[in-house]
Amino acid sequence: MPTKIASDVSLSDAHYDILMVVLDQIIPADPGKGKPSAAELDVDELLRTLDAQILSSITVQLDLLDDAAHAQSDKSFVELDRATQNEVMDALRRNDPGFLQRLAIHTATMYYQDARVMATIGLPPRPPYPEGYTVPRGDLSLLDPVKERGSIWRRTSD
Amino acid sequence: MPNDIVDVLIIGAGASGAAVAWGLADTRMRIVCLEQGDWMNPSNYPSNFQDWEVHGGETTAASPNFRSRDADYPIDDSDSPIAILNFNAVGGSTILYSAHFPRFHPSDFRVRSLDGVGDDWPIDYFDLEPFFAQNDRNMGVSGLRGDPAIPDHSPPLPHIPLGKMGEAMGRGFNRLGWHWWPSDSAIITEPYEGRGQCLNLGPCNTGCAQGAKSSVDIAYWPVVQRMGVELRTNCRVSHITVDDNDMATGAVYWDADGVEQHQPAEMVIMACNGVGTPRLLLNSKSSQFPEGLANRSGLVGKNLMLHPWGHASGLFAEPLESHFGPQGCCILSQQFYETDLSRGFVRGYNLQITRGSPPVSTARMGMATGSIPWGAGHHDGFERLYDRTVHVGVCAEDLPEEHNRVVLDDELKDSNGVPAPRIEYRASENSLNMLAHGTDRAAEALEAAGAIEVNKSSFPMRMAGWHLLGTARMGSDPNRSVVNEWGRSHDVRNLFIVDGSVFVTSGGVNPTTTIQAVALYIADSIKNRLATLFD
Repeated sequence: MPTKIASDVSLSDAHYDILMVVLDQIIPADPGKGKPSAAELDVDELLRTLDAQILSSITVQLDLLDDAAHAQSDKSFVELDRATQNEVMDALRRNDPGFLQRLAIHTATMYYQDARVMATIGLPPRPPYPEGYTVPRGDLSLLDPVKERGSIWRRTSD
Repeated sequence: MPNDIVDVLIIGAGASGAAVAWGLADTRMRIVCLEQGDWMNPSNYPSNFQDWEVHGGETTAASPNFRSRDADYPIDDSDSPIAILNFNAVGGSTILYSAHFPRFHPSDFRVRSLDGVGDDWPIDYFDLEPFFAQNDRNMGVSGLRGDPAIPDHSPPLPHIPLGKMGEAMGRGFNRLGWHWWPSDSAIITEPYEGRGQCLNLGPCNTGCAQGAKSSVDIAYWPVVQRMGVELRTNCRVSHITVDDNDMATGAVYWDADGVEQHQPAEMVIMACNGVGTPRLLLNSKSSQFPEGLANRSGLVGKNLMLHPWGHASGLFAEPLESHFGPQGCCILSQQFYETDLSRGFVRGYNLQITRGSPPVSTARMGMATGSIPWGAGHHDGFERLYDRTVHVGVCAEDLPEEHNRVVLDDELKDSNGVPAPRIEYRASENSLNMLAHGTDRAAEALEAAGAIEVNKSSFPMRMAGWHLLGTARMGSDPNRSVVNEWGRSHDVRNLFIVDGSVFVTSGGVNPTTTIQAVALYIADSIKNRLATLFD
């Protein structure tokens, strides 16, 4: 029974659980820095904004992770310990770097637009416009040595 | 119903078209401008949205081939290491430009006399000086008086903020004993002429939502329209018409409804940039002009200059808040602008220090290159890069060479079936030597400023062909130039060209302020000669 709909691709609960692990492996939480895990993002939005090429292969690729887990340890990918999950993902990256690399970059794109994450890097959770930002005008005394050296533009005969 | 004849027909509503329209508007002649694009809506620019870095807005692609809006025409640039970039709308490429606004130097107009290369212009810096100043006022230019690299001038608005990164780079240049200065910027730093001041949004190069960046749809056209100039949008010109006396009679265009029209005119002014103008002239063939209009010299489309571009970036240990502020405007260095043959090349370049990468770009680039890892090290990797990058661009003077040119493509056409331009271009050995020197000096400046890592890009950068110059050059000899010293075609006495096509040389800086000064100068020359203009 499909439970998650992303565009015209349906994710089963099992696929969804695998995806959550993958996202958490890409960008895990760091409570000390106040950083959430990428698995805490709006995953439906993440799926909706995936490019068509990744989306069309996502279930196949998630199945490959699960198949590799079973082949290695007779456990599902989700049941593996964190280090082994990482090993399985690394193996998939080596064999077919395209899918996971593109998923990772898309995940980072969504992650750094998330309001909670923006707050952790000192950004207000809003578009640049209309409030904008403040930038110091700068210390113009730094130009004193430039002025002291005098004019450098080349004179023409006329 | 046929259109009434107008006194002046301007083709193109970008930087030069707006300036020449302003310059002529007080004559009370009937002036019409045809623009193939439409008005832009600043509320649609990406900085209105939280996902601004990746927002799929219509202004985010700089190449017309990728952008493919209805107003765009394709350009075959496969035979050039530098892609052609532009924007087609009211405002032209100023919609996307960085608004970095340095002037040409006096030496740029005398390269043959001073250095034995290229050709001298028939005018000089001081002929243009009052028009630079007028354009600064019309656009709203920010800067700091006293730059020792350029003749003294006084920008009407206070300089753009340096921020921590500008100060850091300034200290680096000071350690090297090199010139630097806050760059003149076509961005208003205080409320000006009813416009709100810069808010340091960042992404100027996808359009300014605040309207503080002086794109000419904001800075010029509302004023010009109030002065009585008629601007018709979504009107694509296919060719200029001429009579048996070698006089232009108007232009054929498709109007906003897709209906083919002829607009008769007493005078035609081309303002379509250094690719669009030669394309239109070459498409305007007739029995008198079988090789294209105003092309008896054979030079229309030739001598294309693009400013080959280099780049270095630096990573600093301390956060510099480097992605805040106008993306392309901070400080510049013209230490290597004038000729010193011991460097291994003639002429010189500008170093343009630009702001750092914002968060999504930092993460995407870092993860793509492996400098930001997956997993437990991700956050430390991101923090090591974020707000600590500074970019330095190298704008190299491109010398005129006839084999660098715009021609018509045999097969490629725009959506109206008009032949599209094809670019044939090679960067010269002089340009490549200049870029090698400039990229090394950019890296040296970053290191002197305290960068802990420096990366130099390969050159010339491909996605850097913004500056389209030289393809209908100005000169006094009809055999060696397309227009005379005040912009009138040698062959067609009521045809003028006012865009970057008329440039004899390219200088080593972003050309928009000089393009507009030339357009204002030509408008003034026309006004001063009205009684005998076509003699």
